[in-house]
Amino acid sequence: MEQPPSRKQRPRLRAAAPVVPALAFTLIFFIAPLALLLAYSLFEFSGGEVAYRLTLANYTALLGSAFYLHIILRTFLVALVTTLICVALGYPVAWQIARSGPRLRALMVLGIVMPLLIGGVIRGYGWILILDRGGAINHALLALGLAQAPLPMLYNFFGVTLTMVEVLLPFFVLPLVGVLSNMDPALERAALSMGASRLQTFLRVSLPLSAGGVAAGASIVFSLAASIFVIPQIIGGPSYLLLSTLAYQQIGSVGNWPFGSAVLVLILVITLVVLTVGSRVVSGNIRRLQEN
Amino acid sequence: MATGKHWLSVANAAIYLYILAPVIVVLLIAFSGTSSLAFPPASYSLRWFTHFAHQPELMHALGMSFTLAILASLLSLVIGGAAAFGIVRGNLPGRTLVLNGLMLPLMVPALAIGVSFLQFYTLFGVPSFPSLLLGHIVITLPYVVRTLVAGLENFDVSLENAAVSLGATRTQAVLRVTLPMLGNSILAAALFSFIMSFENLPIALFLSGPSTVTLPMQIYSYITWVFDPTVAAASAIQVAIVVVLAVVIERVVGLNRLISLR
Amino acid sequence: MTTEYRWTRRRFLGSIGALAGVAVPLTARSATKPGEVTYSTYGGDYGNWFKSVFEEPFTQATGIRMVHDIGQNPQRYAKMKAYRAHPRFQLANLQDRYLFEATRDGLLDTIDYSQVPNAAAIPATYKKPTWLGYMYLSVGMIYNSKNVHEPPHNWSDLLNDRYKGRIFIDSFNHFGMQILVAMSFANGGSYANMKPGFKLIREMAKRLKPIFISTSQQGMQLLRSGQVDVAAWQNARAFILKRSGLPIEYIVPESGDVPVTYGNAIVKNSGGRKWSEAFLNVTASPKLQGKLVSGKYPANPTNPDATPSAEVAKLIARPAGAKQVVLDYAEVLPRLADWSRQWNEAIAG
Repeated sequence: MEQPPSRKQRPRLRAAAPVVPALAFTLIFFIAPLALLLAYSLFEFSGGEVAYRLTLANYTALLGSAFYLHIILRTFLVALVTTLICVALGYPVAWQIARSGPRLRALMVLGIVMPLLIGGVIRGYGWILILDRGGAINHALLALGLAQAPLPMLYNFFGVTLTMVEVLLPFFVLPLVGVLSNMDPALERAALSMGASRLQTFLRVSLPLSAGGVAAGASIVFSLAASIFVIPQIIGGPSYLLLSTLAYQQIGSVGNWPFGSAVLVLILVITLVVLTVGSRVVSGNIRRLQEN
Repeated sequence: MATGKHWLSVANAAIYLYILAPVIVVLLIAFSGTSSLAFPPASYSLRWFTHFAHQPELMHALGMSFTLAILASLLSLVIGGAAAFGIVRGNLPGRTLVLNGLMLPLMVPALAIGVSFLQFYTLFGVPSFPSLLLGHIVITLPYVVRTLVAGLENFDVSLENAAVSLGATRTQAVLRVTLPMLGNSILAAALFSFIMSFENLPIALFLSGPSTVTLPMQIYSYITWVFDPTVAAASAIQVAIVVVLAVVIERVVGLNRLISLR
Repeated sequence: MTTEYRWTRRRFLGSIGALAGVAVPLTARSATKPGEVTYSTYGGDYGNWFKSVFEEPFTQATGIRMVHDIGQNPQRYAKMKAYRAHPRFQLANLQDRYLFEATRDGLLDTIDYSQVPNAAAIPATYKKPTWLGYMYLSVGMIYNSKNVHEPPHNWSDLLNDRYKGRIFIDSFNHFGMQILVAMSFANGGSYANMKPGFKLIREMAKRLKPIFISTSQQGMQLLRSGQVDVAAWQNARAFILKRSGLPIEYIVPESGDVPVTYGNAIVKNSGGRKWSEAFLNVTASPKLQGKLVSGKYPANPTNPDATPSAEVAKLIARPAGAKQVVLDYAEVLPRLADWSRQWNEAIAG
């Protein structure tokens, strides 16, 4: 790619031009409306109406209450655990998809995509039929004598995380398949033939090379896990409140747009911070892995 | 080596069972013979498919969602594909910032997007369909950019350069060499966009208007009042459409070629 | 008070428009074509039934077609606020609480009741200057008569260890607010003092581990499968279950249940007044209201002269002396945010 320095700058700028439409689009059609939301989060809500007076009260109420801090922690704990499980389960799946013959690969991709075709609401109800006290799993456990009483699997951490992983796994697997299949298998073969163990080959060669795909998928999963509301609404319910369901309640049925907007802004800010710090840590570790 | 592969297959089979569990439940219920949602169903029938076909508003909404998803995916593939090229090849100064900026819609709850878009677009008098389309492009664009950036980063540029050195123009090289080799990533991006748009509820909840009601909205409204296997049948039809499409592509074009261009 | 609110809101949004350098709404044209009435209403099964009972006779009589936007109350109300300057629908089908809010916000036209003769007999609880109710359901207690031999009479009867794990309570987002107020009023509370209600909810949450449902379908499923014996919920869904042959009964607490009225309103500046009033008159018809509630969703008609089927009349008949707690939304709405916070803390800590 080495080019004479004088000609270097212009083609680079020209190559950057394709970014402009997407940036402009996001700025006009997304950031601008979002600024409106930010503005709402700074308004007062009194007497059941939005009062257009600036205040930080919505944020201090959120961050100054033990209850809301608990909800914030719960939300991001669910998001973090969901992401980790998605990485752990999704990597082997993506790996096999990328390394299989065409027929199996097509079948596996279809299997990953299939759940996405059934809307979140309906899949949520499908899960209820499985996890309910009278549902398929408890039915089986009781019949096999593995449990004395039905296990509570809904409206708690277990149920929400279990369903969240199922819903978000495709978002991790699909981008990773693209990356893994573009990776040159010769590199792995070379490492193996030079006496590296399979684990060493994986850690030193395959993993660093696919790190971009893992990070891409993981950040998509984390963002969605912190913000989707259909699954927490159905599986978590009002008694396992998360930030997204809190925002839905405040904006939808309470009509407290300022507070609901503040909750949404908080989700966004924490997600951004976690992903920024996370990507620093991960890229540092990857570099160390490669250097060792 | 063989045992390693074997264990991988066993583990993955278990993972597939897990992620397909609710799909299996929903598909079986679609064929239920009764209106109750007990699983497994006590008897089987096709009555819920007939019931679905007799709901003109569901069929109309299916068309609406399909049109919206196709348009949104195409437009975000064009805009997002270009952006991914710019990001990976352009060596921009604020590369990470640009990428994160484009990822932002993913981090904002779809609910927030719906609510703020309703406020913003009506302020400028944007009618319902265009605002729905804009909303759907906003949420599909990040998937396209992320997937294609990841794909392009792992793409060996020397192949494209080789084509150029053999006399192709850069554009020709991109179209003839790079794009086909990115088949996997492009397919994944297109699939994502289509599905994310097709099944999105929160945006449509706030941006739809008379005659622009989408399928997820109709299904959601339907479920509010009665939850019989009709909605399961609707899902089964969606799954069937995609499976049939996949088989047809396989027979006609060769899905293998589409997915395994290496 | 309301005019000041409107002014500041318009100024806030208007200044954003001006900042962006774009002329605020270009859509002077109405979204409605002549010969049509645009109607924001419910979809699904209920929407279809509503259509066949009220809209089809209306279209037959007037030649006016109805075009729908569908959705639930919160979205419909949010849209009405956003569309304020240029409404995109002319008629809205809403719950009493949202009708109150829309009235407060100045979003609704005053109805000329001389054009709505059928409404003459409808009592004032369900008939307001800006909206007209066509039916109401009630929020009270539900029990399974096969499993519960001594039915609850008061809200506090629900706090019984026999119901541990076998009770559900509606979500605050749905009818939980009505439940809270009714519980408070039953135990000496007032709008300014919700403590008795919260005390009961908190104790129930702690001792009984109730299921807090988030959708009506969950409630239906729990009652149908026999997983719960009692519930704090609405009557219309209980009636559906009872009609399907299940031993599910609805109880009006001694202190009274809370009516939730469903009504229609005409959106201000939407240009649909004449035909909208004609439609309101159709929804007030005793014959058609009787037909509506005799369908799949039994509830009480607002018109006392309505004639439901004998079966439904028996189902929805209110016991002699049954009290009603009619909510005053002017008192409720300013306190809603605070109640929602306390409710969340009581059940989701």
